[in-house]
Amino acid sequence: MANEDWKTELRGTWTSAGRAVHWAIVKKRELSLTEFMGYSSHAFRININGDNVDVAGPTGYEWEDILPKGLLNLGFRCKWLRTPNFTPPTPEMLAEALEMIQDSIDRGIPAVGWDLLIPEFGIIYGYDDGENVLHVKDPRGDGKLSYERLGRGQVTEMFVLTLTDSFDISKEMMLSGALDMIIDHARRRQHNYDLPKYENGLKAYEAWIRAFTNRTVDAFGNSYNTSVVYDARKHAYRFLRGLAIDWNGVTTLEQEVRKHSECAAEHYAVVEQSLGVLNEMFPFPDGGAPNDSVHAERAIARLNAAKAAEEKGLLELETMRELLTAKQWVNGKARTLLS
Amino acid sequence: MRNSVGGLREKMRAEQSNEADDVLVCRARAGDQEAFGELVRRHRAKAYGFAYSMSQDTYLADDIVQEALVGAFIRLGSLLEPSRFGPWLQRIVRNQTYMRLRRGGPYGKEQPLSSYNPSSGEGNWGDAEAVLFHLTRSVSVRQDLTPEERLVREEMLRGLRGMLHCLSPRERDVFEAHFYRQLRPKEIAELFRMTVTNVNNHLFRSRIKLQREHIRVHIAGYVQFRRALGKPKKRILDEFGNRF
Repeated sequence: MANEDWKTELRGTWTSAGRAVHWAIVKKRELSLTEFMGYSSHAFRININGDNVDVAGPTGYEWEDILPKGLLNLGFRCKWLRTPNFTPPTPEMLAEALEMIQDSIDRGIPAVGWDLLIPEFGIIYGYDDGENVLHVKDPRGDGKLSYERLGRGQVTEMFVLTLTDSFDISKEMMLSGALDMIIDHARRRQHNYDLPKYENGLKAYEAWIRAFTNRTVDAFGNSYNTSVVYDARKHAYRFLRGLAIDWNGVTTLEQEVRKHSECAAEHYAVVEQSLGVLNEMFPFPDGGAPNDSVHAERAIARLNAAKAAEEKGLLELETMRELLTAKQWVNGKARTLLS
Repeated sequence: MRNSVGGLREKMRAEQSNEADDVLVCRARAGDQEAFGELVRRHRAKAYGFAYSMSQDTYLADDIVQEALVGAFIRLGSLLEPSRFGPWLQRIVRNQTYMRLRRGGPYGKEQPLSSYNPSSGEGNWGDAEAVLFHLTRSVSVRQDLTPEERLVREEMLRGLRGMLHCLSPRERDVFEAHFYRQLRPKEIAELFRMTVTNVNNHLFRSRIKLQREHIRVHIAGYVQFRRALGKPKKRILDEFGNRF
């Protein structure tokens, strides 16, 4: 299998939200990037515009919903500030954001921000009131951002998130929280509006296939979506293998979780391999020739394979969630009977 | 029967109380102090009720409403629908309340409007700059502020006045004509003997400049506020700059 190196931790990710939020919690919790990607559900995300596979897909979702939920799964609470409808912040909102950022840095924790140097997520890890600059880091690299430019970058939209506090959480709760998010994303359209025409989860594969079938794929957008989803599923596969190692106890629940995560991992390995083919065909940023008939048909075959495998993997994850829910139910019942 | 000044004022007030908000707003904009006073009388109780329900503190609520009224007065010219004065003031009060509840701090004991006495005859109610000038001066003699707080407040107000100065005289004329007198670009063009395109360009540039200046001033005020609270001036989590 191509994935013999699954024990090696992946050091990076194309999902900048995952990368940035992991940076923010890394001093507080020992957790690999792959584990973070799994428990926060980023490893299982896919969001595609079926018209053209546009470049905004991977970041076109409700950050204020998904990011805090992912953090809760790991025992962190956060607060966030986002300007509505792609507007830059008012002076008051900008000052409020700076206050959040500076308070967080004063506590030793970097803040997460959007469009700091480029329209991706990054961290803000320093400030200087003398120069009026923030020290930031995002996929473009390290840099400085003047206070006045926050939220007035390439897309004039401000989003800032900071951790507020943390609490203890059991591994059962971590996993069931993650599974809830993963399954919801796979099965239900998570967008509040019809436009833009984003589909997530299994439907996203169908949308992607539709764009290839209609030969309306944007080469650049497609190469970016491919890189992001391929990278995410690499983490997904490794995350599931990791679960099989972590759940090493003798109880029925431990054995079942182990069994189902191993089965799920095998399916996600297929997803990863299928997307790997696309990743070679459509390298970022040039993206090859996605609307060429031969390439398009080959891509459609791989996407069908990926979708079928993901569907099977998902069934394993759903069984796992049922078991965890049953355990929580039994525990609750036992508590009720004992009290 | 001889009409005393006080009697006249009473009579005018009685007339005003029958006028609609939009009429009063238009008159206040034109510099009529009584009209603004009537607007304040009408809406103060409701604004206070809201501020109190949010803050649960009579003193703070009072303070918030005062500040909001100053804000409302300064920005009266930018109110596009004069008949919506009530809801508009309500929004200013709400923003003010959120800001104050979040912050507390050095501005907690201020009552800027109470120190501004319109009957002294110095202020021209139609001119935002005059109000700002007055506030700047009154701050410097306020005894309830520490020297540090006074400095912060003064600089902020100076900054606000500076905002209007960042425009060229021509831009400023056009801008003020548009925002304080609500003239249409065509009317301004006639007034200043310019083309409409020219007026629009001036307006566009002025707006951008003022917006940028507004942000700069606000952030400078925020940074000074931090300093007054004794917060660190600089902090860099070096491990994130190098390790990753």
